[in-house]
Amino acid sequence: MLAIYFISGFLLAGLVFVFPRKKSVHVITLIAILLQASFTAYAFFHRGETELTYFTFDPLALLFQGILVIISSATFYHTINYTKTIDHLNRSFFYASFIVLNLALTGVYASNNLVITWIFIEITTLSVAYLINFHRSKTSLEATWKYIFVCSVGIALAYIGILFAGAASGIASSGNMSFAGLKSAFLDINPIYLKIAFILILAGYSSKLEVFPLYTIGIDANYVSPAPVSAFLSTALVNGGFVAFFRIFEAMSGTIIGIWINHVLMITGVLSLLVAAIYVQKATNLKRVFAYSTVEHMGLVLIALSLGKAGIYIALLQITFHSLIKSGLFYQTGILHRVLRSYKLVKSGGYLRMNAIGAVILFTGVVLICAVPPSALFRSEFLLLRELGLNNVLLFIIVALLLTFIFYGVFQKNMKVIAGEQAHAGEPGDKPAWSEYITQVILFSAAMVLCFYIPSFLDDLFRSVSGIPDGSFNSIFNTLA
Amino acid sequence: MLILLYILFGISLVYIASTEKFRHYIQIYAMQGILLFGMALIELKDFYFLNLLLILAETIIFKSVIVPYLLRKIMQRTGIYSVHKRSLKGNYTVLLMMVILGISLLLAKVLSIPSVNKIYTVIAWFTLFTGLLLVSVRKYLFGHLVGFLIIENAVFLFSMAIGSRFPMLVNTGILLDIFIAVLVMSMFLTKIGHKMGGFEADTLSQLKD
Repeated sequence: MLAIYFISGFLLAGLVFVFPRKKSVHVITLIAILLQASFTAYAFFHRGETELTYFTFDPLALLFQGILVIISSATFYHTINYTKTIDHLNRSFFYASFIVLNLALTGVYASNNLVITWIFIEITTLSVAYLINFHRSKTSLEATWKYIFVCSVGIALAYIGILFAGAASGIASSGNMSFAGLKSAFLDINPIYLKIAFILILAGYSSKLEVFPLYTIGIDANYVSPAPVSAFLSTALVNGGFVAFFRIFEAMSGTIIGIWINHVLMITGVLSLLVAAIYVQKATNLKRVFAYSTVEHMGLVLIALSLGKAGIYIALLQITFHSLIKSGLFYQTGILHRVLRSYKLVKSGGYLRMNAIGAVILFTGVVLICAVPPSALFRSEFLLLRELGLNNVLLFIIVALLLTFIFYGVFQKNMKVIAGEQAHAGEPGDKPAWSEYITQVILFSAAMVLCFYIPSFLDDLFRSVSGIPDGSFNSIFNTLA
Repeated sequence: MLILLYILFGISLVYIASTEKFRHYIQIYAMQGILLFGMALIELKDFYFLNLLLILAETIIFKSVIVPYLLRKIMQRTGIYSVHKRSLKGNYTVLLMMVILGISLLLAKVLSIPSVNKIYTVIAWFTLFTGLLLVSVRKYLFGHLVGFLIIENAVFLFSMAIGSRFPMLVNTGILLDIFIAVLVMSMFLTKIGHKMGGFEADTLSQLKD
C-alpha cells in the first residue's frame, strides 16, 4: 500500500503540470489529500506492520500521520483562495510542491531507518522552497535562500553525526542503520562518540525543530510564506523534525549518556524559551509573534523530553495540541491580513470593529495558544510544570517566569490588533465568507474538548510511544505512579 | 598511492580556501571529484558493476562535470569572478587553514575509532572545517555555495572513512537529494542576483526583528 501511495502521489504531483487549469489542479490536489487519508486509515488498521523494508506503521508514525491528514486538508482548503489569481504554471508548481512535501513527511514519520529519515528530511527542505517563495518578493527570496542553505548545511552536519554514531557502534559498516538496531548497538560504545553525534544531530535538526540554535530560518520562513503555508510549516513540518529527532533520542536515551542528554535538552529548551520571550516582545509583525510562539512550544517539548517517560507523554500531548491550535491561528491570521491589509502591528488595530467574528475567533486562538483553560495546552503545560516542580524547583521557576513573559507578549500584541486604535486608514479590506472560519472553529473546538477528554485511541498512541502504564495521567491531577 | 591522493586533497583544500578567483574554486572542486573517485576506487571492497557505476556517478559525473558546469553558468550569469574586496585575504586564510589542520589532527587522534582509518578521519574533519570556513568568511553567496559543496565532500569522506555499505537504493537517494539541493540553490542564487541587484551575503539582511 505504501508503494502505491508514494507512486500515485508522485504521479499526481506530475499531473498538475499536465492539467494546469485552476479547477483541474484543485481536483488533483484533493485526490492526493483523499489518497493520503485512505493511506492513513490503512496504516491505522495495519499498526506495527513494516512495508518496503524501511517503513513501519508504529504508534509514533500513526499519531503524526493522523495530524498530517488534518492539517494538510485544512491547508489545502485555505490555499484555494491564495492561488486564485496566480498563473497556471505557478499554481502547478505550488501544488506539486505541496503534494511532494506531504509525501516526504509521510516518509519521515514512518521511516524505521536513520539514513532513510535523513533522505526524506532533505526532500522536505527542497519541496518547501517553492511554497516559501510564493510571493516572489525580496524578503521571500531571502527567507527561501536562508531556509534551503541553513537547513541543508544543518542536515549535512546531522548526517555526519549519524555516520559518526554508526561508525562508533560498528553498525554503519554493515549498512543496517535501523533505529531498532541502533538502540542495542549504542549500549556499549564510548560515550564521547555518542555525545558528539548527539550534539551534531540536535544542532542539525534544530533547523527543522525550530528550536535554539537554528530557529531563525523557521521564523523567517513563517513570516514570508502565505498564511496557510505558515500553518503547515510550523506544525506538520516541525513535527517531521520532531519525529526525526525523537527516534534518535529514543535510541540514545537508554545509553550511558542518558542523563547528559537530558541536561542538553533542558538547556536547549530553556534557551529556546528565552529567545521566544525576548523576541515576542520585540516583534513588530503578527506572524512573527506566532512564529516565536512555535519556538516557545518546541522549547517546552524539549524540556518535557528531558523528564523521562512521563515527559515523553507530556511532549506528545504538547506537540499534538500545538499543531491543532497553531494551524488554526495561522489560517485566521491569513483572513485578518485580507481585512486589515497588513500583518504589521503598527498598521493594525480595530479588528473587532471591522470583522467581529474573525476577531472573536482570533481571540479564542490566542487564549488557547497561551494555554489558558479550556485550552488543551493547559493540560500539557500544567503536567509539565508539575513534573518540573517535583524534579527541579529552580528550573520550574525559570520556565514559569519565561512563560509569563511570553504570555504577556503574545496577549498584549494580539489585543492591540483586536481592540486597539485603528491605525490603518487605507482602503477597506475584504469581507471574508463564513465558510472560511470552519476549519478554525473545528480545530479550536477540538483543542478545547481535548482539555477535558482524550479519546482512548489517541491516549493509546501517546502511551504506546512514551511507555507509561495505563491509568496514569487519566486526570491531570493524579501523578505517574 | 592512497597517501598521495590524501595529500593532494589536503593541498586542494588549502588552495580553495586561499584563492580569490571563482574560476579556481570551480577547477579545484572538479579536481576533488576526481581525487575522491580515486580514493573510492582504491578502497572499493565489493567490486561489482552497479557499485562502480554509483561511485562514478557520485564523483566524476556529479562532482567533476555537472556541478562545475552549473557553477560556471552561475558565474557567467552573475558576472562576478572573484571574491569580495572585503573578504579575508589569502595569506590570513592560509594561517587559519593551518590552525584548522591542527584541530583536525587533534580531533582525529582524540576521537579515533579502531575500525576507522585515521588519515581518512583527518582529511574528513579538515574538509568539514574548510567548508564551514568558506561559509563564514566569504562575502559573496557564491562562496557560500562552494562552502556547502565542500561540506558535502566531507560527508562523502566520512562515509568512506567508516566504510559504510548502504544498499544501492539508499545511496542513490542520498545522491539525488544532494544533486537537487545544488540545483535548487543554483536557481535561487541566480534569482537573488536579479532581484536584489547583488550577490553579497549582506544584501540578505532585510528580515530581522
